[in-house]
Amino acid sequence: MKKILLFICSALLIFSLRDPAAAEDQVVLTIGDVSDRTGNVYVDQLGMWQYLEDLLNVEISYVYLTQEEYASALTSHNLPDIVATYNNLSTILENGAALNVDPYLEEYVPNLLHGPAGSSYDVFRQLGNEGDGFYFFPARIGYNGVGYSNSAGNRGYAVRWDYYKELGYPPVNNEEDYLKVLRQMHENHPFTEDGYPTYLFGTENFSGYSTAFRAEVSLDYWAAYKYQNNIFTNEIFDGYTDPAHSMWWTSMAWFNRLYRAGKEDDSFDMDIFTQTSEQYEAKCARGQYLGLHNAKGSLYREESRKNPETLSGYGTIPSRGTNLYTNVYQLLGNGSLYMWFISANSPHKEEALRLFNYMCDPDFLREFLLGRKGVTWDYDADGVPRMTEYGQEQLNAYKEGSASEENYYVQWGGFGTLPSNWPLLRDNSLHPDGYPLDFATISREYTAATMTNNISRDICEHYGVELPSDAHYKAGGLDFRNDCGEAITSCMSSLNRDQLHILSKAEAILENVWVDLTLAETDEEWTAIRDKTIRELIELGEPEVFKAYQQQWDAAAAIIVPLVRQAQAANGVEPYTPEQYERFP
Amino acid sequence: MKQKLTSLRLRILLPVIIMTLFVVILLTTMFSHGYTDMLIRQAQRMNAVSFDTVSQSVVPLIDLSIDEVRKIIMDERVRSYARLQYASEADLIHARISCRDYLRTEITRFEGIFGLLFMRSDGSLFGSLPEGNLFYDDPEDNPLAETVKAQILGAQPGQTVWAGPVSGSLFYGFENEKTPKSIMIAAWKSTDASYGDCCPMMLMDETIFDDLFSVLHDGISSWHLFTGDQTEFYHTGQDTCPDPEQLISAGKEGTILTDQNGQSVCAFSMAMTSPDWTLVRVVPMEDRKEVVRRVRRNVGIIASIVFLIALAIYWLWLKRFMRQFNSLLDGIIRMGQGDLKSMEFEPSSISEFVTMQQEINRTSLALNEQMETIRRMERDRMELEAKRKEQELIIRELSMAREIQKGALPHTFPPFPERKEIDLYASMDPAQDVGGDFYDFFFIDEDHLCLLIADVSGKGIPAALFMMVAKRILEDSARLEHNVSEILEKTNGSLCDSNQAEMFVTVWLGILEISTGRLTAANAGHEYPAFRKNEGCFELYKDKHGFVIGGMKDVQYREYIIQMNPGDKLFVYTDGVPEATAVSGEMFGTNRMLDALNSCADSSTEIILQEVRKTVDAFVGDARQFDDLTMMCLEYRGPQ
Repeated sequence: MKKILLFICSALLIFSLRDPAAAEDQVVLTIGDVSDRTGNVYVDQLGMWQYLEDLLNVEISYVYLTQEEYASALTSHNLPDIVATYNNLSTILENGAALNVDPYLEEYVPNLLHGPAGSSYDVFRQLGNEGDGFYFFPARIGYNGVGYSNSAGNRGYAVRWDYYKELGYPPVNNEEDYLKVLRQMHENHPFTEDGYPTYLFGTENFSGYSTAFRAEVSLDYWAAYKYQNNIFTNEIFDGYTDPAHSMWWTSMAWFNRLYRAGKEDDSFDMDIFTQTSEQYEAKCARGQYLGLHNAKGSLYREESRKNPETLSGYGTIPSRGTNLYTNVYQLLGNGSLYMWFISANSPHKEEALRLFNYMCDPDFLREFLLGRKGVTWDYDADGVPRMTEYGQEQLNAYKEGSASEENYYVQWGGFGTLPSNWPLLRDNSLHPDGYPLDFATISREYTAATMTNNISRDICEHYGVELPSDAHYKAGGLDFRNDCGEAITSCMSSLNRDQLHILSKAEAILENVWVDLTLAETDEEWTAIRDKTIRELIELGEPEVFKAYQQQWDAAAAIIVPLVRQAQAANGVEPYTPEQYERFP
Repeated sequence: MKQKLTSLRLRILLPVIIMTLFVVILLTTMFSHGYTDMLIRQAQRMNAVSFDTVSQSVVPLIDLSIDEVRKIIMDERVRSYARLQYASEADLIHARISCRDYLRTEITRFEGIFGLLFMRSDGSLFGSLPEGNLFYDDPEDNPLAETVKAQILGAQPGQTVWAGPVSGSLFYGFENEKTPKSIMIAAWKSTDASYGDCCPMMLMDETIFDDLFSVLHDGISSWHLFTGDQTEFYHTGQDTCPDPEQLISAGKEGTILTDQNGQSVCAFSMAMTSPDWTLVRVVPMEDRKEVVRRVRRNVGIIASIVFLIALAIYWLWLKRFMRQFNSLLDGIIRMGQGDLKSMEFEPSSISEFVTMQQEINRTSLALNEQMETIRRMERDRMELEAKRKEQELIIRELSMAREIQKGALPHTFPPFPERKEIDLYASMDPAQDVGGDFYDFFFIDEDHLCLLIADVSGKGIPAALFMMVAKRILEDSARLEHNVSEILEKTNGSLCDSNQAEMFVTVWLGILEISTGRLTAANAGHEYPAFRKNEGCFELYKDKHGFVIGGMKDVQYREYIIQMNPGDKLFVYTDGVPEATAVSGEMFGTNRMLDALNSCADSSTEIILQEVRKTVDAFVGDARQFDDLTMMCLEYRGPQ
């Protein structure tokens, strides 16, 4: 009896202490995204988000912040509960705007520590200074590309595919082969079908030094300055004063070859020095360039409207000379490009932490991406996750463009409706059951079945493969599985002001010399300009800057590379051996 | 009064008369002046103002732009590129990049200026547009029309020429939705030798005029700008431009033309001097039938509006009139309903209403005074009536109470006709309808007759109620006990326990043993009994009084015994007998009572009581009976 009375009294006491307003007013968790608007405009009204809201017992308000709004909120300490940003990281820390979540991870975000995303925390533990906190959650950890693709790829020896087919698909394994093919195409087609002049090769502007075809050199996208790494060994190179390992200098040599090759028949586009983006895009869309450094889809889009069977468009020649951008393990997700943090002033820290826990929870993410288990997908008797008949039917209709309100995925979301930085794990991350989180669309079978591009199909048909990426591998091409450049760069601190000043001057020197290098009439002239430029750069002190950068790089690489290898092993991706890439300089 | 009524009628009809006159005048005015002419005159007035504004704005606007552009082209990066004197192609490209970067930055500063171009004397062209750069150093690549080129190249040094509009061919295939369809070139031949033989050109699109003409846009007329060769460069509104030649020659006074849709328009034109453009304004006009229809419609609308306004005024006036009238009517109704206070009426400017208001108030006040008197009298009457009814009710109730009380006392005489041993008679006459006195007699058993007489303190209903209680208790006690003192003691105890009203009662109680004539009695504060023994006179027997019943608990009473012989009589009474008061204030007293008794001592008990009563009544005369008058007389006749 005493116990019953004690229970009743306790219950009454708790009930009387409870804030009735709090019971009625649901917590509104605000998420501010500083990136460009992506995904579904009404993402927070989709079923998938409402499912998350129910689990968290909160209402989620997802808003995009302009730079001005973000700066104002940061200054006034009036940030949303959760913020995605790619800049002002140091300002955020200096202002104390971000919550140090390190003390809470074990209790609230165990999925981060003990799942695939745990590697990002391991990096922090090993690279972070003593006493530093863990402030930023990475976005979309995992493999960028899964080793196969239904597109012809956009990096490499890109050509107008219809003209290339006319030539009988001549193999291209180096720049010599490539130039030969381009010249032959120009000879055959000095003008487009619409009467516009054609040019051997196009680039958006001449600072696009990623145009060179140095398969062993990492992409310029995330390379700081002109310091790019070997994607097999992850050694760092000085792109300013080491022409043998510089994509920029290789590009200059390539454009000089183009100039000299096109001088006789005006097939070199002199406008590339001065044309605007619009002019360049217009020429691409008209198919005036026979080769491009980066295959564009505008020509194919335009032509396929007129002729559904067209092959007018750009495709990348399967080759052993270029690398296919796939199997890139993004240890720190999108890296410094996008980070999430919880506002230090947030009144809803616990809810925000729990949200991040869900965002790297494979069980939750499987449902978040594909719909509820038992409705759209389920495990079969062998424990293999499969779409249900209903789920597959809804997915097919959705992918075919169904906008019916009745469609499950129109209501639920998924497949491109999320903002680009959600969730923390990529859709192709492996669930503990051994299948991708999104097993429904990330599979060779689905990829092959949904391949509609004529050029991709022509590649498959000609090279006798299922997918265009297979043709690339078949031709001896490799991918980026060994590359850790992006993750290493993300972990490095900025150079000091003097070093940055030197690199700024170095860039100006290169910018000034590119016209001379391109328009050099002889090899001797080109070499003289190059040597003179390198001397200027050395006098400027650039090599000292590189040494400082290299020290940082090596320290970070010593930690990052083994972690990436671990992730590769966990995902069943074998790294390349030295024997496989020894043919690259 | 008749005049006043006429005035009232006129005032009621006045708004209608005004309304009718107004409409008639309006209709007459509209038709007499001619609606079409009026519109044209209005258009001319508007046009004169607008032309002045535009002519004062357009040219300075262009001149301002040209001046700005002249500053831009003075930059060395432009001049050096214009000269085209380079040692190598790389130098040329460097100069081109430098020129491009400069022009691209500068061009964004000007709204409405779409591009900056330069044409050398050999026809080669270079310059910058917001979305592209034009470097046609080969004259063969110049996309401008030959006529335009000739116009520009033929200009005199320092002269500004206007060419165009030119087509989108300038954009060499990278046109997009932002590319203007109509571009006008302002070109002038430089006098600065550092340019070489070069004509700078400023490309303007129509947006340069948008702000200017948006101010003038009235939603009806349209504005047109024609170049010197009668080419339309800019227009606002719908493109229903009649023959340009006719428009240009319309003049400032306006000309009626027919446009491409067959509609009549009124065109006004004004020639500008620099550039040699013509500004035209086209005002749409209706045909005659349309004008008539429009006039009719407008007149109808205006007449309707006037009618509605007049109706509204009339309605407001009528509403006010009716409010005043209703106020009066309400006053009369209220007066009829008896509301005769001074009334607040709606203020009125109508003298008849004011008089009526005053009369109503005066009559109302007079009536109110009379009604007040009547109401007061009626109130008094009602009060009296209520009291009377109340008294009647009380009397009726008391009468009923008296009957009840009488019913509670033995009232059948002789009470025990079979018992020849006694002759007993009693009476009770309450001073009010009910009294506090009572008597009783009953056989406790075959041989014992209980007699009692009592007088409750107070009178009226309370005394009667208490009497009933006391009687019951005494009777019950007497039936249980044969001991007189114990009967009184028990009765006293019971009454004291429940005597909330603190009343008391005097009692004389006796029990006569019929077989022996022994009377055991006790007196609880009551009047002395009177005995007549041995055929003598009635005499008071001054027994020992005990304390009244109900006054104090645990009182003991002393009983005494009187041996009654046959022929002896007992007379007990209440104080109403000796204390019966005459008009003079003198009380009847026990002596007169004894005299009365003795005057008929041999008579039956009934006669004796009647005689005493008569004597008392005679003594009291007209005086009001103050107290209950209760008597009981017993004659013991002995065993039979």
